Amino acid sequence: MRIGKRKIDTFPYLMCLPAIILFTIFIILPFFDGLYMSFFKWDGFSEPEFIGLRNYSNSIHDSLFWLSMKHTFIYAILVTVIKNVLAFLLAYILVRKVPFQTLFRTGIYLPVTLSYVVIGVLWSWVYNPTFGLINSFLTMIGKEEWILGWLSDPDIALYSVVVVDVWKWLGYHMVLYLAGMQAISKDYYEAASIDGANGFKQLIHITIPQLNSTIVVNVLMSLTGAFASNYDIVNVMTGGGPANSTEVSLTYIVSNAFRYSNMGKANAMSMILFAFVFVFGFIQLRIMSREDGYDV
Amino acid sequence: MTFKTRRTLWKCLWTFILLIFFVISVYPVVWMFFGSLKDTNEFYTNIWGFSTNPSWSNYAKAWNNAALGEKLINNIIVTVGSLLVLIPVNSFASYAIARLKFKGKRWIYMYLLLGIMIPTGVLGIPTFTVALNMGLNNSHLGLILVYAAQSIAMGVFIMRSFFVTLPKALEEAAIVDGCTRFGSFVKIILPLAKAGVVTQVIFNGLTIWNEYFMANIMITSQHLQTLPLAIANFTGQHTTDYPVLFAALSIATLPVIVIYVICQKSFIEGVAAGAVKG
Amino acid sequence: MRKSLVIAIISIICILFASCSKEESASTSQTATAEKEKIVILGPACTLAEEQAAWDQVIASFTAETGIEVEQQRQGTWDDTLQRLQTRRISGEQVDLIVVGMGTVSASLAPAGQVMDLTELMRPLYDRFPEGVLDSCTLGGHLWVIPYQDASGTSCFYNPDLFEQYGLSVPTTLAEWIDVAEVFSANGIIPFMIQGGDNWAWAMPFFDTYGQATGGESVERVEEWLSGERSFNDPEVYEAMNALKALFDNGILTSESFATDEDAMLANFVQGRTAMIFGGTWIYASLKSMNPGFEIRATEFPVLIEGAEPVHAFATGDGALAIPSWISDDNLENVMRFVEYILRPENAKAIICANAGGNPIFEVVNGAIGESDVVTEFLNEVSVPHSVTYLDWIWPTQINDAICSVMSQVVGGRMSAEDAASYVQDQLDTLVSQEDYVYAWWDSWSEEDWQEVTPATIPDVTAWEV
Repeated sequence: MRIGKRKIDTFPYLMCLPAIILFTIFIILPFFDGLYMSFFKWDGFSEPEFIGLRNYSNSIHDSLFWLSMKHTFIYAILVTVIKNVLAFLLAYILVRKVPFQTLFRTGIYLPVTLSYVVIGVLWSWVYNPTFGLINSFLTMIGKEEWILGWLSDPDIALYSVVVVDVWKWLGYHMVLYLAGMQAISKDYYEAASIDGANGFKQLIHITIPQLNSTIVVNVLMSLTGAFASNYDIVNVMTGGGPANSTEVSLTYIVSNAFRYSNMGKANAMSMILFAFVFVFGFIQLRIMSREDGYDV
Repeated sequence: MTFKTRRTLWKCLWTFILLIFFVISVYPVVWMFFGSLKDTNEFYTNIWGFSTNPSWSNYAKAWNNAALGEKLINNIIVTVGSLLVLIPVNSFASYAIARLKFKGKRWIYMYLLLGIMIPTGVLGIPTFTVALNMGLNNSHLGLILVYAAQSIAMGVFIMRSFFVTLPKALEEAAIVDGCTRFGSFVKIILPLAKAGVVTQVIFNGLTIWNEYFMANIMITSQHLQTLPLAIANFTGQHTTDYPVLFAALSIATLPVIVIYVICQKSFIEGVAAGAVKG
Repeated sequence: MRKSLVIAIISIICILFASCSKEESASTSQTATAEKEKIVILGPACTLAEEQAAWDQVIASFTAETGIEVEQQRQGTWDDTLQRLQTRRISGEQVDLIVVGMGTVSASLAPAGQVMDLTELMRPLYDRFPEGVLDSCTLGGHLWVIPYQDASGTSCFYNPDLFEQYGLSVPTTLAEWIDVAEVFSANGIIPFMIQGGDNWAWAMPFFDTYGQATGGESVERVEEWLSGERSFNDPEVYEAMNALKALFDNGILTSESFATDEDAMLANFVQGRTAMIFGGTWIYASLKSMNPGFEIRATEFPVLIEGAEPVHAFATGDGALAIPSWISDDNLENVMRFVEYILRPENAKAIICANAGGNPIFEVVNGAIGESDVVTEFLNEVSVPHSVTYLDWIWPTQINDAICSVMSQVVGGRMSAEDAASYVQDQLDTLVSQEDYVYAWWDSWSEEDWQEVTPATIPDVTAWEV
C-alpha cells in the first residue's frame, strides 16, 4: 500500500456528502433524540423526568410487547416469502409475450397506488361475514364449511392482514422483478437452449443467479417494510385486535406514544425493535450480497 | 401431446392466473370509483355493484369543501421537489459507493443503510424538533428535505444494486472519450441506471404523494396543506362521508396511475436499453 | 471543472437551509407582535362544510364586534390532535383554544397539567348550560373543558318494520329477547349486532351491563377500584361480563358481530339484515343521513341481570373546547370574550347544529337544539335519566384497551370472566408499579402544580354580555 504524499481524492466523498448531510440531520439526529428520550419518563408535554433504564426494563417485562414482536416476526417472514414468490412468478410470466401484456402489468400494479383508507374499508368489507365477497363466494360454490372468522378469529386475523399486505405490494415487487428479468441478456438463454437446457433448468441456472441483486433488493424491502412500516395496513384493518392477535410492534409502539402518552417507553421499545431489525437486516445483507463483484 | 398443444395449454394457464390477479387488483380501484358516484344510502346498501344513479356531485363537493385544487398544487410541489432532491442525492452517493474506491466507503454505506432499520414513523416528533430548530417547520422545503432524507437508505441501496451490475470498464471508456469523472457519471453511467431512477420515482413519488403523518405534524398553515391532509377532512370523529371521501381519493389517485402508466413504458424501454452485455 | 458542479449542488442545499431559516424566524417574530389581538384555535378539521361555514360566520361577526382576529388551525383527524398540540408545545407557537374530547383531556392533558382549570373562569357562564351538563366535564371537582358539541350515550336502535312484520314486541329483558331472537334467526335475520370489529367498541356494552350489575353505581365502583380500594376480581364484574356472554350463548349476539365495524353494522341495519343494533347515539345521525325515509326507533339496552334496572352511558364533552395552561395571560381576556360570544344561544345553535348535521339529539348549550323527533325524545326522556358517565373517561386508556381485548374473548367463550378480570387487574397493577399511576391525581398535586393551571386573573365575562 502506498500512502506517501498522495493527495486524498475528494471526489467520492463529495458525491456522498449531500446524502450524508441530509441523512444525518433528518434521520440520525431524531434517532438519537429518541434514544435520549428513552431514558426519561415523558408524557409528551410536561417536563421529562430522568429514570435511567426503567423504560427498558418495563418494556422487557411487558408481555404484550413481546407478543407484538412475535407477531411482527411471523408477519415479516410470511409477507417476505409470499410477496417474493408470487411477484417472481408473475414477473416470470409477464416477461414473455402474453396477450394484453401492458394491461396486466399496469393492472396488477394498481393496488400500490390505493390509499390505506380505501384499503381499510374495502378489505374489511371483503372479509365481512354478512355481505363480504369471500363468504358469498364460498357460499356460492357450496363450501360453507370453509367460512372462517377472517378478521374476528384471533387465530386467523393476522394471516388475513398478511394477505392484504401481500395484495397491496405485489405489483410493486413484480415490477422490480420484471425490470431485473428484462435486463438479463438474451444470449444466455440462447446458449442454454442450444445446450438443450429446458425452461426449468434455465430458471434455476440463469434467471435466478442473474437476478441476485434484484432478489436482495426485494427481500430486504419486504422484510424491513414489515418491521418498520406496516403500521398503516394493520391499523386500518384491525387496529391490533381482536384480543391483540394482530398487534405488531409498530401499532403497539404508536399506542404507547400517542394513546397512552408514554413517549419514553415508546422510544425504548423502538430502540429494542431497531436492535432486532439491525441484527436481522445485516445478517441478511451479508448472506445475500456477498457476491456482487464489488467489495462492500 | 404435441409440443404445440402443450405450449398453448401453458399459455392458457398463464393467462388465467394473470386474469385472476388482474381482477383482484383492478376491481378495488373500480370499486372506489363506483363508490364515489353513489349517494350515502346506496353506498351502504348497494355495496359491490355499479351505482344505479351515478352522480358527479360528490366530486364537486370534495373539490370545493376541501379546496382540493390548491392542495393538489401543493402536493405536486412537495412530491416533485422531493424527487428533485432525492434523485441526485441518492444517485451521487450510490454511484460513489458502487463504483469508486475510497477509504471509509464501507462505513459510509453501512451508515446510510441504518436508515432502512429505523422506524421513522415513531420518530415523528423528534424529526419535527430538528426541522423546527432549523426553521423548516410549516414550509414545503422542510417537508421536501425530510422526505428526501427518509428515502436515502432505500434509494442508495436500490441505486447501488443497479450501478454494480454495469460492466466495470465503462468509466475507463468514458475517460478515454475525454470526460471528467463527474461528466462520465452524468452522461454515461446514470442513463444506464435509468431503471433505478424510475424505480425510485415510482416508489418514493407514491409514498410522498400519500404521506400524511409527517405532513400533519409539520404543516400548520391552511394554504400549505398537502392533499392527504385535505382528504383527512372527510374522516370525522364518529362518522366518515365515504362517497365524498372516495371522490377525493379518486382525484388523488388518478395522477399517480397516469404517471405510472407513462413511467412503466419508459421503465421497460429504459431497462431494455440498459441491458448491456456483461 | 465537473467537480465544481458537485460543490455547487452542496452549496445550493446549504443556501436553501440558511435562507429558509431566516425567512421563518422573520415570520415568527411577526406573530409575536400580532399576538395580542389574535386567538388561535387548534383542532381537527370540520367534517361537514356546513359546520366550517358556521364557525366562519360566527367568527366574522365576532371580529367585527370586537376587532379580535381568530385564526382556525383545523386540520387532520381527531386522533391526531394530541400530536399537533405536542408540536405547538415544542415550538412555542400560539394556541388559545383546543378542540378536543373530554376523554383525551381526562386521560392525558389534564393530568399532565396542560389545560387550564376552568372552574372559576367559567363560573359566570355556568347559566349558559342546562342543568347537569358540565358534570361529565368535571374531574376532581374542577371543570376542564367546555362542552361544545352534541352529547352522546349508548343506546339500542331497532327496525320497527321488521318487528311489526313478525309480530314481535321490542324486548326489555333477556327472556323476552331470547324469544325474539329465535324468530328473527329462523327467518334469516340477524337478531342483534354490535360493532365488535372495532376494538374500542367492546367496552360499550360492558358500561351498560356493569351499570346494571352495580345498580347504577358503576362509576363509584370504578373509582374505588382505580384507587386500590377494591379489586376488579369482583362478582359484579363477572356478572356484567357473563351477562354479555349470555347474549352470545343464547343466539342473540351472533358471530357476525365480531367482525363487523361501525360502518358495516350500519350497512347491515339499513339493508334490513339485522333487526337491532347497539352503539353510540351518534350513529343515529348517520343512519338518518343514509336514508331519511328509513324507520328507526331507539330502545333501552334490555335488562340482562335479574332484578336490575337499565343503566346506560351518557356524557357531554365528547367534543369540547379546552384552554392550554401555557396560554399567555394577556390573551386570556380575549379568549374568554370569544368563549362568551360562541356560548350565546344563537351562535351556539348555529355551530352545534351544523356539526350535528342539523338536529343535535341533546341540548348541551342553552338554545343549541333543533327539532326533536320520536327517537331524540326517547333518548332525552327515557335513556338519559338512566345514565351514568362513560367509564372510559375514568379508567386509563391502557385499561380500556385491556377490557376491550378481554371482552371479545369472554363473549366468544375463549376466556372465563374470572381470567379476564384477573388480566385487567394485572394491567392496572403494572400501571401502578411501573408508571406510578394514581387515580386521583388532583389530590396529589402540589400548590405549584395548581398554580400552573390556574389563571392569574379572572376576566369579567359579564361585562360583554348582551
